[in-house]
Formats: sequence, C-alpha cells, structure tokens
Amino acid sequence: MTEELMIAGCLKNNASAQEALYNRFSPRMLGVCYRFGKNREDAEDMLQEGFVKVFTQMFQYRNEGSLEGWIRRIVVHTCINLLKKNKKFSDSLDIAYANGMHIREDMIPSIMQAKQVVECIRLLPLGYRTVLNLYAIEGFCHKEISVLLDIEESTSRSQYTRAKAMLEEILIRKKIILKPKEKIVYQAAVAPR
Amino acid sequence: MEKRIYTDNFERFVKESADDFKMIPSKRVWHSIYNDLHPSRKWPSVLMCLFLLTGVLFVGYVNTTTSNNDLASIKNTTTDDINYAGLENKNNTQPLPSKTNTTTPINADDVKSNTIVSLSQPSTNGTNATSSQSLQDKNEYTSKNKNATKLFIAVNNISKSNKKIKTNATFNKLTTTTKTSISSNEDDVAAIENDNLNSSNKDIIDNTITSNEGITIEEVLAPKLQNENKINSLEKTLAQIQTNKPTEKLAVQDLANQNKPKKKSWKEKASMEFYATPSIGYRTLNAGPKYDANPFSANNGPLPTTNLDATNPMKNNAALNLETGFNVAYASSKRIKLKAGLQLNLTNYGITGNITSHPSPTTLATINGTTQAIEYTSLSSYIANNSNAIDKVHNTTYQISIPLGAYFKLLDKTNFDVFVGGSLQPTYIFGGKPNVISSDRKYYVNEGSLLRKWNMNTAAEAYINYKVGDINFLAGPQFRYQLFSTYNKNIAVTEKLYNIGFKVGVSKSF
Repeated sequence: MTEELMIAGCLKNNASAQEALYNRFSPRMLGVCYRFGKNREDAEDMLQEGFVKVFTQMFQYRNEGSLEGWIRRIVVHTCINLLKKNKKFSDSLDIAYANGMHIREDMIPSIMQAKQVVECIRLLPLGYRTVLNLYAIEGFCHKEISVLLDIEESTSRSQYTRAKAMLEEILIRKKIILKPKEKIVYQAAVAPR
Repeated sequence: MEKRIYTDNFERFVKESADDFKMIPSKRVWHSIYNDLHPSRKWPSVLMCLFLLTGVLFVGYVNTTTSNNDLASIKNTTTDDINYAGLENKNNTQPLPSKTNTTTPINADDVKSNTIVSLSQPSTNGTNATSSQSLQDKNEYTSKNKNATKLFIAVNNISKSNKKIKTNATFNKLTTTTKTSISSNEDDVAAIENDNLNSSNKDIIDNTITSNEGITIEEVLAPKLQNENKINSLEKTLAQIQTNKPTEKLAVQDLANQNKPKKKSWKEKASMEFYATPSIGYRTLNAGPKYDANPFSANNGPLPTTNLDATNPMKNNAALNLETGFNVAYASSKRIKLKAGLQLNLTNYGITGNITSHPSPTTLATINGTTQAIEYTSLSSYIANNSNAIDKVHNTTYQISIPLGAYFKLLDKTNFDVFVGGSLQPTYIFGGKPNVISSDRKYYVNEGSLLRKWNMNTAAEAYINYKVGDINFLAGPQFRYQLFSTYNKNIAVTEKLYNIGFKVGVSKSF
C-alpha cells in the first residue's frame, strides 16, 4: 500500500489502512520511544499514545516533508509529554547525581552496534539522555528543547555537553569507538607526573 | 563491526546508529490503538460478556429449581414407600401410627433399604429416622424406641387390666375386660402381642386370666399387687430408657422445628431487574483550584478564573443521555432493598460553534500552567462570531458502571409499592469524545487521552413498583451526578456531568 493510499484510508478511519501504516512505521518509532522510555513497557505505552495521536490528527498532515518525519515528531512530543506527566524528567536533572554516576562495564550489552549505542544512551541519566536524544538525534535546537522541557537554554547546552562526554566515555570503554588522538596525547603528557 | 574513530562526527555516528535501531512492538500495542480508534467495536465483546453473565445466572437458577424438585419427588416417593400416615401432613402434630406400621413394623433392615426416612413424626413403633442420621443412629434409635414402646404399652395394658380388675370382680368380666383392653389397643400393640411382649408380661396377663376361677376378692387382688410391683419396675426401666435416648429428643425438636413458621428463602427475597433511563444530560464547567487562565501573560490578556460559563462564547446545550442495565435486588428486611448490578451509560451534551478545516495551535490549562502548544494542536471547533455558529459537536462518553444501592419502601399497597433510594456507581469510561475548552476559551480540543478512566457517579431516585402477577413494573424519576471531573488530573478545568431522567424497568422474582 502506498503512502498516499494509507493516508487517504486513515483519514476515513479505515482500520486496514491504519494497520498498514502502523506496521510500516512502528518498529522504528518504538526504537525512538525506547531511547526516551525507562523500559520496553514504557516505550510501548509511548508508542501507543503516539500512534493514536497520529491517526486522530492525520488531517493535519499536509504532505510537506516526509510522513515518517511527521510521525516521528508526534511520537517524540508524546514521549516528552509522558515523561513530564510522570515527573520522571524533572526529577532526573540533578547534575551532581549524573556526575557521580558510575558506568559498569557489564551494564553494556554486547550486541549489534545500533542496539549497543542505544543501550549506551539509555545508561545516561534521564535528563542527559533526553537532551541528547532531542539535540543529537532528533535535530531540535537548544531553544526548542528549552521550551519543550521548560528549562533554560543554557541548561540545555550544558546538559548536552555533559551527556555527550559521558556517552563518549561509555562508548570508548565498550570499544564501540576508539579514543581520540588528542586525548591519548593528553594522557601521555600527564603520565610522567 | 565498523569502528568509528572520528570524534568530530560523533553526533552523526550516534544519530545514524540510533536511527538504525528498530524494535518490533508487541501485538498488545496495536490492539490498544485499534480499540482507541474504534470504540464502537468494543460493543460485541461487552454484549458477549453480558450474554455470558446472563447465561450463567440462568443456568444457576434452572439447576437450583431442578434440585429442589428432585428432593421433593424423593421425599414423596419415600413417604409413599413406607406408607407412613401423617408424614406429609404438617398440621398433624401428634404421632399417629398407622395400622400398617403397627402390624408390619419397619425394622432395621427396612430402614437400611429406605435411604431417606423422615423423622418429622415420631411413631410409637420407632421406625423413624432422619435422613441426616447415620445408619447406626437409625438402628440404635429403632432398637431403643422399640424397647421403650414395648415397655410403655405393656405397662399401659397391665394398668388397664388392673383398673378393670378393680371395677370388675368376676373372673369372666376380668377376662373379658382384659381381652377387650388388649383388643381395644390392638392397633397399638398387635405387633407387640405377636412377639414384642416379653414372657413376664405375658405371664402376668395369663396368670391373671387363668387364676380367676372360684374367685375371691383377695385372690383377685393378689395378682394385682404383683402387677403393681411389676408396673413399678417397668416404669423405672421405661424412665431410664427415655432419659438415655437423645435421638428421640431430636425427634421432638425436629417436630417443634417443623411447626415453626417457615423462613423465606433467598429466592423469595431476591429479584432481577432490567431497566433503561433516558435522561437529559448537561455539565458544570469550572476552573479547578489550580487553574491558571493566563499561562502566557505576554500573549493572552488576563481572564476570569471562576465561572467558565460566563466567559465561554461557545454555546453548550443539554442533550439526550441513556442508561441501561440490570441488577439483582435483595430485600434485606421488610422495607429495605439492596441492589447491585451492571449498567451501561451514554453521556452527552452539545457544543455549537464553527468547525474549521484550518487547525490553529491552542493551549489547555493544565495543572502546572505550562503550555502544551505543540501537544494540543488538535482543533475541533472554534468560534469567531457566536451569531454565526452553525456546527454542532457532541461531548460524549461511554461508561460501564456497577451501581450499588439501597432503597427504602415508603408505601406498601396491595398492587404497588413506592421506593426511594440511591446508589453509588463506580464507573469505567471506556471511550468518548471529550472536547476540552482551551485556556483562551476560543477552541475545543478533541483528545481521547484527556478523559479520566475511572470515575464515581451517584444517583438518587424514587419509583413506583407496580405488581402484575409475578412481574413488577417500575417507573420513576432519577437524578444522577458525576463526582469527579470528566478530564484527567492534568487538566485544570473540571467538568462534572449530571442527568435528570425517567427510569422504566421490569423485575421478576427468581
């Protein structure tokens, strides 16, 4: 079924068109939700709410940009709203907690790269993770993030910087990426002390 | 696996890796989405549940009726088989041994063969036994009762013979009287005459009869004295046996219980009601305690926060609502009736405005007062000029509830009763189209997730219960009020629904 047919069917509340659209986009959208959610159950709840909104607001889609992008945006907003509703997000912006967090090697599963990276992202504190997800992966700017999360723009920037550093450290320790050269040089320089 | 080295492209690497990540959702997700999008498709399953519930109740009712009939037929068969007079006659409080019983007394073997023998009427030949008694109890009871009866009758006969002796001095008369006495009690003692009277009793009587030739008073009185001694000893024995027979006491108790006024069974107290209540439904719309009418002070001017109706340019209208369901009523006393059941509710009221195909972003007043501008862009209707409002949308919910109520009988007439009462109704909202008013009062946002899933309704009603044979028809006014807001806890606006309707129904006892 083509996208046009699916959209037309969804606008008529046709169940088979809705199912086709769901089957096409739900795996990738669940991946998005999984990055925001606490666990798989949370992610599935987010996906469910997101798709209900997609179908009920389908009339707003104006064929400007890709359908997947539009769906993704709705799903991301649903995730953010659910996090805010459950007060998970605001409670997890404690930087001190995040700095003191210790990432154990055995916490990182050894599976495929995409899954590994996502699991590494999920190891971050919720506040860091959300800002990183929105900025690095979903393409929001810090100003938009500050509006979405009700935080200062500068907070968003600092959260992202810390999140990025922490994620990088995790990925290096897991040997998913190699250490950058400058850091090796830096370590070599300080070693004689 | 490819190892990414470049830190400069770290973000790109993370993005690409994350974008490649997919997960297959469980089927539960699609089913939930489907049910949200097509709430009407839930009706078959709800109807099926109701059908099954009714079926279970019906099967239970039929089985109970059948078992009672079976018990009655067994009882009748047993009483016929043992041909025991007065067993079915509940008014007959005196033990009336029949000729059949006395001439052919039921012994322990007979009791064994008759599995159910009522003890409701104790008999002189001691053949009664309760169905609940063990066979051993039956045998013991039969044996003891037989002995007691034998002794009792023997004493009576001897007493009678002595009385006769007192009044009749001649041997012939005595003989005749004794024989007549025995003969008059033939019904009672025929069996005993055959084999139950012990030899000593027989001897007494025989001696009395045979030793009355050449008669003198002393000679006649001599056996009388002997008999009196015998009587004393026999009466002592009888008293001893009577004190040691609990089963006979049980029989007396059972007899007493049988003559008590019969208690009403639960079936006579319970009834099944089916009803429907068409009503007119409307709502109260208020700013909640945490309502913030002006979350964006730069954009919107301040708005009053108390009476939303006064500042709402939309027209809201009452609309037709419906409740239907069934319940089981139980008369806990002469005037109090308790009810519990299952009820489906359709609540509804109308909003008149202009539906637009050009949605505009709007905000809802949430508890924390922050904007949900992107989240809530779903636009149902808006109004620019109230005089041109032509489109109508309905604010609808579908509910299922369990009414638990108590009713008081105000009037108790021959043909009708009047009840007043109320109920609490825990309610689950399984669907609907809530149109939530925006914080600037210009728009309504149609968003299913804004509905509160669980709520509590109350109802107050009065009705006339008109009796036509086994069936009662009921009709009367009802007022129903929703205790909690229609919307979930994040929405600052509180909307509470109420209905005024007329209930009609039919009820039948089990």
